[in-house]
Amino acid sequence: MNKSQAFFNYLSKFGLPVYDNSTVPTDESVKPPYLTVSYSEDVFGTNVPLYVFVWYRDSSWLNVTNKADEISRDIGMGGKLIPYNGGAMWIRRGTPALQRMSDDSDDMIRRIAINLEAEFISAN
Amino acid sequence: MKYTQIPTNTFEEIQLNAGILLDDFTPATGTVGNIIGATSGGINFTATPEYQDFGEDIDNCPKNTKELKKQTSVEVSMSGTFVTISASAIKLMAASADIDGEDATHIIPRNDILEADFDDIWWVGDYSDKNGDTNGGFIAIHMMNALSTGGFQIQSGDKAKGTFSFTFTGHYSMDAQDTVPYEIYIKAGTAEPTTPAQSGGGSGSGSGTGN
Repeated sequence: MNKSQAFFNYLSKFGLPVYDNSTVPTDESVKPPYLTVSYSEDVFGTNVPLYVFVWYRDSSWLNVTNKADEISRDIGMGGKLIPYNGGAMWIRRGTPALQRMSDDSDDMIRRIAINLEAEFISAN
Repeated sequence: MKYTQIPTNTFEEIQLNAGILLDDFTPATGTVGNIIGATSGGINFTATPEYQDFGEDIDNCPKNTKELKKQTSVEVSMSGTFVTISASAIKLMAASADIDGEDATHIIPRNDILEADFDDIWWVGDYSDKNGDTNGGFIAIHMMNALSTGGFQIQSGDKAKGTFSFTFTGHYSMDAQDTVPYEIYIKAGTAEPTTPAQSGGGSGSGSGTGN
C-alpha cells in the first residue's frame, strides 16, 4: 500500500466515505456526511500539513463535532503511526486541532477541519 | 546516491514523543506506576562515564591506551521541567524533606539526608511502529537511588503556567558498589489483540477513494 492509500484506508475506518478534496463526485447521490482530504506527502525528516474535512448537512453542529472528536481522539496525544510499503507515516494533531468552517453555498452545511501534521518515515 | 540512505527498518526503531516520568514501572508487563508530573520540553537523560587513564603519567605511553584505561564511575542524571506539581513531587524535588504528618499540605525541608530520600524513578517512552494500549513498544530507563540534586525550583510568569525545573542524580550504594545506578529496557511493540467481531446493528464500513 502506498502512502496515500494507507492514509485514506486509515480514515475509512470512521464509517464515512473519504474523498480527495479536489475530486469529490458531483453525483446527486453523493451527499454529506463524508470526509475529504487535502493531501500532501514528503520523505523522512520533514513535516507536512494534512487537512481532513468532516462534512455534515445538518441544522446542528452536534453530529459533525462528535465525528471530528472521534477522529481526533483516535489520533490521540502522541499521534498515530500508519504503516505503508517501506515505512510509516506519523500523524499528529496540528494547531488548532479542530476548526469550524462556514459554507457560503449552503447554510445547512456543517464542516470541521481537522488540522494534522505528518512525517513520513522512509527514504522514499 | 549510494551513501545517502536510511535503514529500511527506520520506522520500526524510532522513539516517539516525550515519554513520562514514573515512580514505578514493570517492564515484563508494561504496567506503569504513578506519573510524577506532566512535563514540558521533554526529558533529558545522560549517563556519562568517568575514566581514569593510568598511562597518563607513564613515560612514552600514548594518552588513551586502552589497556590502561579504567572506568571509575558513571554520572547518571535525569532533568527536565514539570508543569504540574503535588506535595509528593515537591518532597521529591526538595530531596531532603518530609510531608507534615498532621498537615499533608505542609512540606518541611531538613538538613540531613536520610536513606528514604533516595528512590528509584523511571522514564518510559513510546518505541517502535506499534504503540497500542496493550502491546505498545517502549524504551524504559530505570534510575536507581535517585536524589534531586537540582533542588526545588519554581518559575512563574504573567499569564503563563508555572514551571518547575528538576535534576535527579542516580547513586551507587555501598551494598552494591559495582552496580551502575541505571539500566535500560528496550522492547518493540507487537500487534494489539483483535477484538471479536460484534454481531447485529451499526454500520462500520467506509470507503476510501483517494487515488
